[in-house]
Amino acid sequence: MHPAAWLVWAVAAGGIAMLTTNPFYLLPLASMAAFVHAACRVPGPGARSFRIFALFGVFALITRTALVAVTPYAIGFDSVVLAAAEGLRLAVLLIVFGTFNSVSDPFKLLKLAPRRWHEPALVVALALSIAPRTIDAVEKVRGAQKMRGIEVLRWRSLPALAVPVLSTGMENALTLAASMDARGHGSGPRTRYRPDVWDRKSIAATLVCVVAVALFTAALVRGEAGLLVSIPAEWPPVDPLLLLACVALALPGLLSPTRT
Amino acid sequence: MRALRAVMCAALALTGSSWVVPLHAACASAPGHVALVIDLGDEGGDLEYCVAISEREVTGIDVIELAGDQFGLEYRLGFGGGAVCMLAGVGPEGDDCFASHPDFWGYWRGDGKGDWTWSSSGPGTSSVSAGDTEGWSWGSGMDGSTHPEPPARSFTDVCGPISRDEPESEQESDDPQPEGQPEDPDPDDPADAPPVGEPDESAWDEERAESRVPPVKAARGRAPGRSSSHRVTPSPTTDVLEPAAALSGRPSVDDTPPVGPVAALGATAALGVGAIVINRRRRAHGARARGGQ
Repeated sequence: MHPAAWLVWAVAAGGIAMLTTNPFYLLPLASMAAFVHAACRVPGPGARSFRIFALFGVFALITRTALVAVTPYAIGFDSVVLAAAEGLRLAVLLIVFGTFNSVSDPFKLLKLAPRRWHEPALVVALALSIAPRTIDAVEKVRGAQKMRGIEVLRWRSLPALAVPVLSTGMENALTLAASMDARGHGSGPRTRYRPDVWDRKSIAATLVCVVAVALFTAALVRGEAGLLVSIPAEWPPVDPLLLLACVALALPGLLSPTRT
Repeated sequence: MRALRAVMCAALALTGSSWVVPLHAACASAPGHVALVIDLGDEGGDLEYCVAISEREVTGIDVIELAGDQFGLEYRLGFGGGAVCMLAGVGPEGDDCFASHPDFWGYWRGDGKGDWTWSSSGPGTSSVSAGDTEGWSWGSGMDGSTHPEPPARSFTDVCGPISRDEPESEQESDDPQPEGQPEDPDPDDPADAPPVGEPDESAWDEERAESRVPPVKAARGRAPGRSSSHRVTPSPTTDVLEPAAALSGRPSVDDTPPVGPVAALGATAALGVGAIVINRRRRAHGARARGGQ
């Protein structure tokens, strides 16, 4: 799929997650993201970072709930439920972001940015790719340590791991900057080798994403009950159309021939 | 997004405009009921109202005003509208709510089970949402340790076992209710006639209209000058264990299986299983490819 179509997908899934705290929309969204990750991921550090993001999501959910549940004030069951729903929303956002990282290369997006916005886009691309790059660096350092017979422990070796990882990141950045300078980056028109094309899949996926977001926005404007978990807590109603919109975002996963 | 909506709703509430119908509906997305218990102290018995609120959060003053709209509760606010001077004819008529000092209206918050705590904030700033219990008691004493508490009432005592935020269906609220007659202390007084089409009447009341025992708590005495029509709810000694009728109008709770949530969980499970299957296939394929090299 076209990188821009992936961007639309990520913005749509994340945007929908921002609009709702209803677990009956959030859980399908999370599952949908996992499905898309499974079907469309590009092998590499980006794909491996998905698990880290999923773990972070679970961590966020637990923390968000615990922070409310263990406060010394008399807080009812409802507040805990509300906090858990918001934590779930955060977890879904992280999972969607992890999926986006695993299916598309941020630097491909960078190429799509107009030249005028090249530098902001570069910053965004670097920020987006920080997790995959760090995971890559960690794996390299671990491998090197193993080869040198250094015992890799979980927590004790953390400083021994962190220093080379950070210095690797620094070196990479400096190398990148130097190579960009040396090639006269940003000074003339860029050429593209094998440009990405908007194929039918990309167009279909983009349309589905736009429709899904429109449905949720319309529900919000209408003030439809069930988008947000209400107080007192009870199971919120589910609109079949909105549920379908959440599930339909799995379309890229269904369309893609599973790559290995 | 929610903050934006809250701001819009607040602006609507401030301007009091009702012409923006869709937005108004958006603000009324979480309606429900608040139990209001008013203890007239030495001046009479106690009044109980199940006040319907149409917003997620209202103030204690709002609840009083809504009770005035819905049940004709007589009230007068003072100190610039942030305090309650008179309720149901009891209390000073002017703007000085301490005119009858040491007696004044004490503001209590219920825990929904019958216990009361002295409110730490004024009724103009308190946050009341559906399912809360609000109490007012007339008497002396400057704080919760000396002021008389309202009678012990749970939310269910006042509102019946209806859902705490069940939206009213039209036919229920349009139904003229025969209830109220048996416990009317003075049937000849037209002012005491039960209001027709009370917005909070539920199927629960309708079904129990015949079986209800006359309440022991029916206003022990009439407050002087009180002409507001009011409803005295059945005492807690009457059985309240008839939830089946109360849940009518909420198809997704007990009687029919909740289709939406089941579909949502089904979709989650299906996509999750799909993800696992694809992952496994890809891993097996990768292992084969490596083995073949």
